Amino acid sequence: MNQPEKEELAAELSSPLDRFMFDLGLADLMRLSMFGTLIAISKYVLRIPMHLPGHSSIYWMGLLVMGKGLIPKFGSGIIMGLVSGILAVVLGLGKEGVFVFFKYFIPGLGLDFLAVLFFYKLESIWVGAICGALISLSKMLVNLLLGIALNIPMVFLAMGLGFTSITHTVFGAAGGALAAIVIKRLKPRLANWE
Amino acid sequence: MLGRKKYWFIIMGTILLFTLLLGSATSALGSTSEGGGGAEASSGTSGSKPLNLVSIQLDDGTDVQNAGNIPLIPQFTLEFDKNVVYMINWENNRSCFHLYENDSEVAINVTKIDDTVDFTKRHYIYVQPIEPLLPGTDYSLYIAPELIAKNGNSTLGGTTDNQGIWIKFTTAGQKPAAAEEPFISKEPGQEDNPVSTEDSSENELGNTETLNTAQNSSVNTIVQAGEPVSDTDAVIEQEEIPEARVGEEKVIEEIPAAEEQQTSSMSREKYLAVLSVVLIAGWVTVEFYLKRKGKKN
Amino acid sequence: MKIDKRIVLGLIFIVVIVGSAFLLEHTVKVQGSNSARIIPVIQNNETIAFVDAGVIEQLREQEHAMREVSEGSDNTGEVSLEFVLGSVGGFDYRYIEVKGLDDSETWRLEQSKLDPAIVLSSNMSGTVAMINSEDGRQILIKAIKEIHLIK
Repeated sequence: MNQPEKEELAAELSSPLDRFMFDLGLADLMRLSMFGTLIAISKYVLRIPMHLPGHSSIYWMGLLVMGKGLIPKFGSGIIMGLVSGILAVVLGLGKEGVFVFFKYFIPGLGLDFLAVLFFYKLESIWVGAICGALISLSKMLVNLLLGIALNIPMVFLAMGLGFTSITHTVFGAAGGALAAIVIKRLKPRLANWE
Repeated sequence: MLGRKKYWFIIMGTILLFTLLLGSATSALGSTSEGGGGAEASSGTSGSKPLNLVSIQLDDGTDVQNAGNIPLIPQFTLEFDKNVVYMINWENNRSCFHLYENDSEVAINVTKIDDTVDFTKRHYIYVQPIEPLLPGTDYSLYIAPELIAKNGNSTLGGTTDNQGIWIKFTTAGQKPAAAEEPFISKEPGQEDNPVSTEDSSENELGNTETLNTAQNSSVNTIVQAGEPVSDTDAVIEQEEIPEARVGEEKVIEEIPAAEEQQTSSMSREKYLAVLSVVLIAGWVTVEFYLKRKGKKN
Repeated sequence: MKIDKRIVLGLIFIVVIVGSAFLLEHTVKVQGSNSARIIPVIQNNETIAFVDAGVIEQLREQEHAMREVSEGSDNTGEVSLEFVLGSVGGFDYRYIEVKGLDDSETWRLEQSKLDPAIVLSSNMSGTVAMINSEDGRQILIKAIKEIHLIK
């Protein structure tokens, strides 16, 4: 690729004039797609020997909060949720079949609204932890609703729900807090992302 | 501007439709139904999420793996890395545990704490012999590969090449003199199959399959009747299969089938991973194309 | 509203969700037991499992599938009480006592006399009935409230 072509491509990637979904630039969309892919792939590949429900929230919600923190625009959570949800369906993650999409999409959607409520200050550990915990709980609620929709007996859905909610909160908060630390360190170095 | 938005919706719609269709096909191929697993649930889909035995301990925390001084009335606590006490699979899982003294099966109680009562104990299965064990005797606890986790996909066979797990241990005390005599005397023509399979044939559902599965594995050491296990240390051995397991031909055909299923499952996953990468690459390409087109216009 | 207040609100919201999860679990257990929609299986005064109509339905399918493999039987009937008690992890007991929603309904049998013909069937109301499938489908208990395993 020669110099003028490179410059043209750089200009294209950084051009604020061309916006796609949710008024996000192409470069942002690509970055968010990458985060979404990372979420699905990490869930597929990583096997943490922690035998507690919701332990995957550490990296799942961590990556979501990190993506949102680094690209602080409305819709970034939705894009990440969309990409990871589609990939989860394609990779056959979970036993809910096609409905597994919602398990990935809803936390992303929720994060978009939560970030607005917290003024996009996801680099704050408290905000990161709260957002992580809440989107982790939203995933648990989607699980519950999918269980009801798929006619899974109430005995299996309700028993142990309290314990599950605690573990989801703890792991989600841990993931969110870790993401906040990463955002705080990374953000100043990525000032020219736009 | 409107034209581009229209493009966007068409492209996104196509991608969504394609992935949803593919996903439903995948789930139909890969997963078993929630409770009506039956035969499918028994075999499971080994591969993507492995089920492993984490530990086997006595009540006092002694690791059975390296103990040769097991009490005569032991209670073994087996910890797995997934929910193995799920009510719907329990009848199958319960029948996956067998205790052998050489070739003869010893009656055991296999118990659990149900996950609807205590969610934290869902990885534990407890095994206890009904009668006290003989002192100074070698025993083998066998866990069949059909052991299945709650998700309906993960089987022990997926992590043990469909062979299950053998745990050997020796009880405390001196072996009674009478018990030292050979259990079964060999008769001419019995060399190839020296051990009575009487007990094996009496196994419950699924066990016949298990026992014969073991027969087909690559056998390194063979535990024979009347022949004490050379290594007194209790060891989890996945490849040691006693010849007591020699059985009907029916199951011999099932082993390649199980392996084939595992291989096809893995190749399907690889195929899907490649497909998903292509999908994302395609998306990005379309984005570039639209952007360039938009600029030209 | 300042961010600090929003953080506090967020924390409260998390506590509310977790609390609701515990409340839902408790409500399902208590209300389900009272209305016989959830049946506790009790052994030595300790609850060893909970079952409901949905579980009975899934166990029915499971027993049917297992029988199909072992016996070649294509019986699609209800799940036997024996299979249910095995699935919930009941062992080492001599008597089975099944109590109905109506206090007067109690049925007791020795384990050794447990017959596969005694089956459980889910009712339209979400409760579970006990039926003798051989004796002209005689209803033994209309709505099971508790199952006791006695040593």
